[in-house]
Amino acid sequence: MSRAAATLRAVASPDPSPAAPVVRLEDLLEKVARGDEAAFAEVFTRASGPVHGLVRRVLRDPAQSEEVTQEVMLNVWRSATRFDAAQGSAMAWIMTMAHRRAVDRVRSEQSATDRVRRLGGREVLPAFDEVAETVEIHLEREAVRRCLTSLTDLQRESIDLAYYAGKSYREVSELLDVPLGTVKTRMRDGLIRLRDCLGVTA
Amino acid sequence: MTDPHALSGAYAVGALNETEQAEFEAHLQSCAPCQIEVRELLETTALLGIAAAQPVPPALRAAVLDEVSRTRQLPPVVVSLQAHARKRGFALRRWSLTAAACLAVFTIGLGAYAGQLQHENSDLRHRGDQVAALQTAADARTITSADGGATATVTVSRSANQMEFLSSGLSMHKGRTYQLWLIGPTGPRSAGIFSTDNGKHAPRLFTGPGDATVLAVTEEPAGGSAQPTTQPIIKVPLPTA
Repeated sequence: MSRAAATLRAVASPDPSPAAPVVRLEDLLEKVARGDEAAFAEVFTRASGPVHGLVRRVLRDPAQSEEVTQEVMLNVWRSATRFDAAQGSAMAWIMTMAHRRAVDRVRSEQSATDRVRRLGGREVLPAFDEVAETVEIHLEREAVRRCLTSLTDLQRESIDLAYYAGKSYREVSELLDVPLGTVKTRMRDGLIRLRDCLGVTA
Repeated sequence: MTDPHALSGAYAVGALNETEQAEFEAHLQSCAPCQIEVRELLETTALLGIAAAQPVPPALRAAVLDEVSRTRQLPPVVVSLQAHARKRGFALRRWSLTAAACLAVFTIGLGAYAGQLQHENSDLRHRGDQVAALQTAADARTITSADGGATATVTVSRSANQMEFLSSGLSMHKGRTYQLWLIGPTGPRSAGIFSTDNGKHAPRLFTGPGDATVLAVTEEPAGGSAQPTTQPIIKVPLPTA
């Protein structure tokens, strides 16, 4: 297993002491799919922090973020029956769902109010002491932080604006004043560089 | 779309609009290397998400666990990630097309095809060809609509003039049947009837859409009706081009 895949598993199991057998998030979801509420409570424990953090990064507003986190976690319960491990990890499934829901929300908001997001001096990741975190999430955060520094400024900014701020690539292109094609390319090669740095395999 | 491959990064960070996303996912269907790349990039962005983790307020946990005990789960039909993501808050689902949905429909179609071939039925072999034609058509689109507890997924290709309909969560009154309607400028015309077993049914494959702009499902007396006699349970807007 790759390091990142191991991390995804580790994030999904906050108590990796050898005495406690590690239950994979995928296996928990399988139980959830059969209506096991206790298994869902465990999925909630493992996944809600990442979901909530990501949703808050995209939406910023605490009340809205809580609402969307709630929707996403409830949807994990409702659609666990449809999770397909052949398509990717459970964590990626949940995080993709969370991101799409948050982005949907931010875009419908934007079309109504055209919120302007401050660009300058934004921290890419929350400060260390901002979050009470598990060891695994701390390690993950450090790996992501380190790998993000291996990107060019344009790659990093493109990915940051799209993923963490919910911007479309057209908006990214305008905000960074670079051609559309360049933004697409930088998103892709930046993610590929991140993927290799983080040791992700499908 | 110029070079679909180049969009994998923008897709994985969620930077495409819905039309572009649908187009990219249509491309994904026929591009195995892209599927692997996208999967890896989605695992990568998941790590970016995990790195932003923040603790959840305890009241939120209690609220969700409470709601879960009162919330029914979806029937186990494979649908798209978008469908998962947008399940809530969208009465009439907008464009939603994914490789997952298409592959699921295709796989179910092929599964039915394989099973039926044992009977050496040439009609069914023809059906398999139609499914393949639909799924490989460049303009094939999949639209998902949800209303109440029911979800409908429609795959449509105007060039192949083929459609496929799959739903879940439709529960029927005894002695009744479901009927599909293609609604165009000249009104509704029947696209066939079907029944469900525990809310599930085999994919319905039929010719269309022609000039229709909406696919609707109504409940009708057994055997179906010449014209709809009840209000549609679910309506799916069809792509115009």
